[in-house]
Amino acid sequence: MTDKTHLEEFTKSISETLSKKLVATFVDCHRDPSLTEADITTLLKEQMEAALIEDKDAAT
Amino acid sequence: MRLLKLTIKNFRGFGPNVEAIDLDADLVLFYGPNGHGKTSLSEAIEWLFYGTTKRRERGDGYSKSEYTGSFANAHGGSPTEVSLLLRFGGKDVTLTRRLSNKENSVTYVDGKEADFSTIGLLPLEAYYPVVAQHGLQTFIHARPKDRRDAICAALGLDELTSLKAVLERARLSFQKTPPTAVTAARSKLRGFVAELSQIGPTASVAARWSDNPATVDVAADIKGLLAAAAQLSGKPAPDAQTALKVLRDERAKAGQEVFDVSLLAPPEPFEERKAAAMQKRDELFASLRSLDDRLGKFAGAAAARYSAALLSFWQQGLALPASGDDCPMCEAPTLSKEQRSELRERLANEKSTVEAITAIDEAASAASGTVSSFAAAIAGLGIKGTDDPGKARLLAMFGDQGELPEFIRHHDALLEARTRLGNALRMVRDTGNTTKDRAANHEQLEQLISDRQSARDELIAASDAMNESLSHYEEAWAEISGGLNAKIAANKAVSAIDAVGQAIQSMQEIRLLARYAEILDETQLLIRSVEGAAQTKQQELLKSRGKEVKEYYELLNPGVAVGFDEMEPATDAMKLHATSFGKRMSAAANLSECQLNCLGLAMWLMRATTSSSPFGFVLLDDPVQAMDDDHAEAFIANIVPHLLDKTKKQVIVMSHVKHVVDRLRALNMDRDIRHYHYESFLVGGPVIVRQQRLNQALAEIKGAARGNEGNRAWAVDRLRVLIEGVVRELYLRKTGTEVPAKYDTATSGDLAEVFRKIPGTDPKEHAGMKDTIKFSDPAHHTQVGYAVPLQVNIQPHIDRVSGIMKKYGLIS
Repeated sequence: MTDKTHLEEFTKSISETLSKKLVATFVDCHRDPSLTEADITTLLKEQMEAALIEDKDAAT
Repeated sequence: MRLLKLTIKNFRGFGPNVEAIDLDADLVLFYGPNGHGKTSLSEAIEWLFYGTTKRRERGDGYSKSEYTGSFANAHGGSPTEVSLLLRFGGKDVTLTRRLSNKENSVTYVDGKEADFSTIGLLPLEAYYPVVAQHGLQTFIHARPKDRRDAICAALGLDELTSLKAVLERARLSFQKTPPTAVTAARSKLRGFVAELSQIGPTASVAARWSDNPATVDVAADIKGLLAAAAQLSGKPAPDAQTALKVLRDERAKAGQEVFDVSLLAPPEPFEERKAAAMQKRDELFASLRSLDDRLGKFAGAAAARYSAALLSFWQQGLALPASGDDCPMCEAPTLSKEQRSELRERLANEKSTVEAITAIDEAASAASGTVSSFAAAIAGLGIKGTDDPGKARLLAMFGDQGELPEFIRHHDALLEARTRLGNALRMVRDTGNTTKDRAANHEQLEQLISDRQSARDELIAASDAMNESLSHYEEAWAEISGGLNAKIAANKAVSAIDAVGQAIQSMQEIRLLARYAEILDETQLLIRSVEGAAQTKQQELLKSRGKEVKEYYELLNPGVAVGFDEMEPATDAMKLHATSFGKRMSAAANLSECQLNCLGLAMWLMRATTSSSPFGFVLLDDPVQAMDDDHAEAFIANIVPHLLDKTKKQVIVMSHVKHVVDRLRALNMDRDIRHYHYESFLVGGPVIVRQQRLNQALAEIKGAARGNEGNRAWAVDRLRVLIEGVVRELYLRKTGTEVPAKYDTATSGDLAEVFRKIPGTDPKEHAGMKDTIKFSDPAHHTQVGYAVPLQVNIQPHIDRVSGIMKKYGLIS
């Protein structure tokens, strides 16, 4: 329920992998009316945790 | 777009039987006291287009449970549904939203389930056409950050601000409640801090790891740890693998200075060593069995040959003349002792005997080899054991309590078992070495077999005893080894080596914490990037749209020397600048609440009148609630005409102030208006009555007066309402002001008095109007004997009112 072009323009300016994932998740979830901001917050935190574990696994 | 007809069923304050509301006018006015359901109507339109309302969005933030299910009417009824007939894109279309359960809803276009976007209607936040009273107040009383969020929403930037808010919350949670792996890694590294802080190269590492929470610098930490390993070992440690090796060597050396554990510890790989010893033991037993079997067979064969030779001689002897006294079964008389020796020597020199002896000798040699292998395997178990001074040191370290006495008992038993096994092996070896010679001598053969049996029995017993002692020793060692190692590790030099070694082995934890810090840094940068993008966009949009805001604000505050100047976005805030006689100052700190309310309204109007908006209407729910009279008048006189004439919007105004609605009606008499009053609020919903135009009311009264008794009664009743409307309208036209508020609950006498005060009316008209007012007075109708008048009696009064309306231009 907003002018989506602003966020889409911003998304194109991101290059870091995790940042890209976080913003992509937000875009998908924020435009899904069944999800609240609290739900999206939890999903983003889980992605940060996943990034930590993925890196740890790669190192070992 | 033009709204034509609204039907609300079982939504919020509306029950099941509310009639459709005709909205087909340029200006639609609703007057209703507070608590009569005006906002329910406003929210019905919000919900229809957006599937939710601003009030609900805000409420969910406070307590979702309290607001759940609040779209449906509290008294039940189904379905909960809002339908709106509107003209859009040149066609009349009916949009409907129906609640499908407590929260979710389904949309319909002309009765068929469809998204509104299918007809090109995108209800974006940026176009929000409903200006709700609570929306204004959130802006007025907002913190700078919330005010900024509201402005971002107005500019269509709320998705960016929402992204920032969600990222901030997720990051904060990730930081405040980190994953278990992170807390475990921090805890592990903190465990090394005390030791590392005492070693020069790792002092800075310890300082980082002792931070709360612990921080890491992978390159610097590794460099410091390798330098510490080199310092402690006195050997170069260019990489982690080398460092761990030199530290292990150094630790063994340092540990021995406390107590040489290698004397007691079963060396690794101990299980393999034990298995090898058992295999050698089995090989030894097998070879001994083989030798003894051969020996047994040889002894049997030798005895058999000797007996056969004697039998032969005995048989030959039978052929001689018998003396009669000699027993033919006795050998002595057959062969002398010397002859028997010669016979045995001959038998011993027989080829088969020589070959048998040679085979026994070879088996003995093989057995001797397995004895040596088993002895080597026992030695290879590697438990050296300690002497009495060593035991004394252990007692000094542990005291003579606990597990230590039991360990020493098993230690001594193991050494005794090992000695016994060694003796048994020697005995086996010794008998093996003499086997060949003793086997060749028939006089020693029997004893040889007996000696070998004894040696083998002792070997088996000693081996079993060794095995049992070894098991007991291992158990006892397991009991004390932890404590012994801890006492050794407590030694300063050892503990320093241990700390550096274990820290080097904690690379996984160090890298994990480094990655954790990287994620926090990256997300912080991302949040700043979002903020930067939002600010850049705000500045761009404020340049153009800010002018519109200021224009609306100035329409509400014409000609003031103190007022709003401009908005300036900042990090997490929106600065609002005001001017006071040309001097710039903070608007939030210096503007009155009324002025801030005007500013909030200006913001929402700017959004609602966005040129690309598909909405052709603006709905204002109690917009002047927090304004003083002057600003309310500016709203009435400036804003509404601007919306109608400049932006060409259909305008819907709801107010609990009757004066505001009457004034709007009075100033827009020449426009197409719908005017409604909320007359009461019942359990079934609000009673909304359309305020008819005077000429239409007059026509309806004329028609009803010609009807049956019920219609005539209604005509008389509505005549009283018409007179009040005529008096009020005429008063407004002649004086330019509304009828004073004290007449809002006018009696018949009061109404006649107001009429008398209207300039230009004459006494004859005063008398006539007084008579008609009395005729139509409801109080008069309840008197005993009152009968509903006939048409011929009503008509003169209708003509009188009609004449006055015509004379003063209320009808043509």
